[in-house]
Amino acid sequence: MEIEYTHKNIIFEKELNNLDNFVIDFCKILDKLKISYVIISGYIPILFGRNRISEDVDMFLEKMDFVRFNDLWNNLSEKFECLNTSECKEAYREYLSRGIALRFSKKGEFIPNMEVKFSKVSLDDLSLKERIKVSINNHIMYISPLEIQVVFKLFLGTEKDIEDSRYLFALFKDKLDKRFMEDLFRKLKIDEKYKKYIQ
Amino acid sequence: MKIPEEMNLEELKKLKKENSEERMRFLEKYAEWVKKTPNKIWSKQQKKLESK
Repeated sequence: MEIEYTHKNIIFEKELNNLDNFVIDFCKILDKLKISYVIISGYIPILFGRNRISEDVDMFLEKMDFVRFNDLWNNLSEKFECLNTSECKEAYREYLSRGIALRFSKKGEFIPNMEVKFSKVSLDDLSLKERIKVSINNHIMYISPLEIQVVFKLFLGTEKDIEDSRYLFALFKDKLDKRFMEDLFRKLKIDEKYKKYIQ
Repeated sequence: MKIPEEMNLEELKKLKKENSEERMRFLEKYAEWVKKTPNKIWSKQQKKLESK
């Protein structure tokens, strides 16, 4: 894999698949509006070549007031639709503000969809703060630090999550902050899983 | 990077449970959509998703 990986920056090129294009289109709107976001979870290993499909992509958004969200909603509405509700106010008040995810798909389609929510816990905030800028075929998207993904996927612990974790670790092990990961493994009490699946 | 001091394992376990419940709700909603959608349409979207 030809990839340039520096602190908080990854640059690479690949043949884009439909899911990549879906994500790129969505992120362009967020970047245009200068909304801070971070992609997490299953799309990250797919972005870097893991062969599996996913019907959704997860992301955290920075917390924002209704006026800003309304602007985002209007911009998204040109190409995307919300699967939870067609009402912007309801989306903000009954879903996002209550910590419930919204899902957006391309108009007239159900899959794939972008699952968006405000960050909830301190580890989410850390992902947003330390997000990595990825340039893929000159398109920009921001992803969670890979260390957090490797550890958190193992914490989630389904077979798919463990495979994602192992794949990312195998791909980037020379670049990862091992001390941070080991601390986080201990804190989440999954040292044994780390020894079994990753080390 | 530093682990946030306020990080709480119980909170993360709760989040994990919520994520799983959300996923179950989505799968239910998706199954409902597939049931009421012509095969030609849902399979076209599925094929698009799977094609690299």
